[in-house]
Amino acid sequence: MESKNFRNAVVATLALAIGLIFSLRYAGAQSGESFFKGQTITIIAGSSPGGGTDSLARLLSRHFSKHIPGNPKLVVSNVAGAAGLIAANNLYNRAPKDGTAIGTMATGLTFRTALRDPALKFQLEKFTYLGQIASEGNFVYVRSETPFGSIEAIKKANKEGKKPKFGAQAKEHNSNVVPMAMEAILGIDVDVVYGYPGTAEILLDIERGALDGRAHARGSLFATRSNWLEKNFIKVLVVTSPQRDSRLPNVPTLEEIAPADKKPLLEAMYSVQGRTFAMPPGVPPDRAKILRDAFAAMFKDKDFQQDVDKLGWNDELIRGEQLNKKVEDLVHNEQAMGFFRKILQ
Amino acid sequence: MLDAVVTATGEIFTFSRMAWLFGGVLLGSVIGFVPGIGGRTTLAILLPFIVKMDPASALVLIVGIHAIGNTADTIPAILFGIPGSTSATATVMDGFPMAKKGEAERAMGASFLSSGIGGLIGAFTVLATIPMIRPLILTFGNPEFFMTAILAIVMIALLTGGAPVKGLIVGGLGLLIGMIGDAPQTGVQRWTFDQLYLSDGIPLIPIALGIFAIPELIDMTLGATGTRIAAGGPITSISTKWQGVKDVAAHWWLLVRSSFIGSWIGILPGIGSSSAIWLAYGHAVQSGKDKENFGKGDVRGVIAPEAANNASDAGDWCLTLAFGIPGSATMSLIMAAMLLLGLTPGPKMLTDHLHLTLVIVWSLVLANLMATGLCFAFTRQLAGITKLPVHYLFPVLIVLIFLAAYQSTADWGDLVALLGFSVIGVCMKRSGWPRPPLIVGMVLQRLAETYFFLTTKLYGYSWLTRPIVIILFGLTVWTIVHAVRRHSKAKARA
Repeated sequence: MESKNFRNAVVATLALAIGLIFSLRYAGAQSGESFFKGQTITIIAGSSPGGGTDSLARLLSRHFSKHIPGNPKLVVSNVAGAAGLIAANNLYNRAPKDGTAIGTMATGLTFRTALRDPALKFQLEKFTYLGQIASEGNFVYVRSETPFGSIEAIKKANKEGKKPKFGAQAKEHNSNVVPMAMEAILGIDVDVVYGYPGTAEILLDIERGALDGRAHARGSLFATRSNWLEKNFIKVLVVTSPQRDSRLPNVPTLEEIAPADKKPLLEAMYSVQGRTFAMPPGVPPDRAKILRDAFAAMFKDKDFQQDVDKLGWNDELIRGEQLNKKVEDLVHNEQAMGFFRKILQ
Repeated sequence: MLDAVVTATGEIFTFSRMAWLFGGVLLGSVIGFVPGIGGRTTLAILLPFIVKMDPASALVLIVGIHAIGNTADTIPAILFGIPGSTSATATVMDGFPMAKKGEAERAMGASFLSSGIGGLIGAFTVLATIPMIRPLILTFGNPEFFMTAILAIVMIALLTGGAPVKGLIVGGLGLLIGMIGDAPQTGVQRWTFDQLYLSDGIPLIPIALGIFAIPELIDMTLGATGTRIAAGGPITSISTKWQGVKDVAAHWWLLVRSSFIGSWIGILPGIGSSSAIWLAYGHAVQSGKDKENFGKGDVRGVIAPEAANNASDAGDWCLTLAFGIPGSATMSLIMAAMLLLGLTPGPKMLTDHLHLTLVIVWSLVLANLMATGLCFAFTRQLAGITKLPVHYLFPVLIVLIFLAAYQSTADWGDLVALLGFSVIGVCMKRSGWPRPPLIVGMVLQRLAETYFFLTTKLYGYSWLTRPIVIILFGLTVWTIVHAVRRHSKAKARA
């Protein structure tokens, strides 16, 4: 008798567990109505809580709703895994196509597209892009005491067989892509040591003298190491945004010094410097327009701008319509795609 | 400086700030008991509210939520042999056997008090050494981190359970499991069999639950009906929390040394508390005169890792605040929150914002006291759980375990991993193989691999001649020799 009770208890327990798991799995995946009033929009963050992608999703969840007619509720759902690929696959194939699902787009997706990775269950250019928050240019800098203080100096050092050592995170991280692009565009030789666990460890190794420099997102440099600029500890060689940075007006852009035949590579580099949101393909055009307009309106919001500043990002807007065109061009830009493949080899 | 101390003290001892702090501790403790959520997710969810608060109140709340985690994660470790987080794995070694002997209350008393005092010693050590920290961090580079990780793995492998060779094999297996997924340096997929789930590696929580929790539950359930975790009779004086307090007093010197080990590891960026606790546990075993009881319910095996754990947290705070180097994922999130509050972690926290830094130090001290007090107050009720018949506990625990496992990535793979590792865990437990080295090997694999790669890339072979590397290598060899001698002595006696 005892054992039968016990077996019943076990069965009931398993049923409860499975029920709970199902409810967790499918909560938030309800489909939507034609209007946003009373709706819940899910923002799928392609990472676990904490970190850049998650804070980006949460930034949108704080500010986006008040600019959408009907003020829908916004919730963030973290779908971690495979550097944002699982989230993108879900967004493209399983999320509702009625405008109630938005996702963060990882830059690694562009690389996987270039590699024609079979794990990709989408076509990058077919997403309905919502917009891009920052076109996050990078500063490329070296320690002032190294013999690599300018592009010419690096060329000269190259002839003597010396290369500056730059620190980077993963292969497809901007800290690697930008120096590689610079190498390809300017015809110089640099040694990128990738595989650092995070940006803090790279900065420490620059301080220790184990590294000569790095490519560093502009906002992040000013937010965390502005004292390096004040103390002249580093010398900034180049900025990778289309325009010069107003805070360092003497630093040239990569575009200014790039040879004309290398311009497609610049486009490739710009394409991975943004923080982008997208919706599944096939969102009704009227609804996509409402959301894209709301996204643009959010940029005029003072609270939003303050938050972006504090995160150390730049609040340059690229509208979703433009992004769709840019991505379409990029995936057919053979020089750019070839460059991405080369980086990953 | 004195001005800042006065301002900070005035700022924190107000009704609202104390309420925020206590609220944070309470919230942290409630969430700490629900497996799978944890302090990091709580912080991420609260972030939008936190950034609207004034900076001092916000920091106080963050500290409150964060501080209780390291104290409370021992509760399931001692009661059920289920570590609440990786930083509680060492406490399972002796805490759970104590619970089985009917000494759960004593173990928790000792654990909470050591956590509290360890946290305090850590906070003051870090505060006193701030001027020296920068040069220390800069002399400790990638080669030294690599050797510290190796030393930690070797210590764990050799010191858990009486079988050094089995320990090393399991530790090695942990390293191999840690390698599953995208290789961080080359991006090559290792042993993923084209499964997207495996490309990030198997998450730690399903593995830890499978290895530790399920085997314990199964063994408990297979016992006669009415079996209880604590086999002992009624609570005697030796098993009360006050005995735990007396234990801590008797081993105060071990507590202090373990706290120093913890603060030191905490100050080093990128090593983390999972090494700190094992280095402290290893130190307790090596320095103890009578070692027979370790692993069978020795209170020293609880005191050392708990003190080290909270002390290392203080070091982590210091790195984040004063140097802008977050030592863990939670700290990265706290750093993001600080940026949103308009505070840039870095040297300015010691000059322009010194009073806020002191508010944090004060909050850490007070939150540690509150967390210790809160846990301490409920020790008897918690220990009472071990006196309940297991068939009441089983349904609750099994649901919580499945939920916690599934929360890691919300993929079916989590459940498959949980079940797969449960089988491995049961086999290991039944045949007497030590289980902690598997988890720690896994945790330290990424660190060891990353730092080894960077070391060889940046220094070639010259890193082998760096003095600290040589010292750490010597310590590793000494640990091996020591363990082998201890083992052969024990064999000769048997």
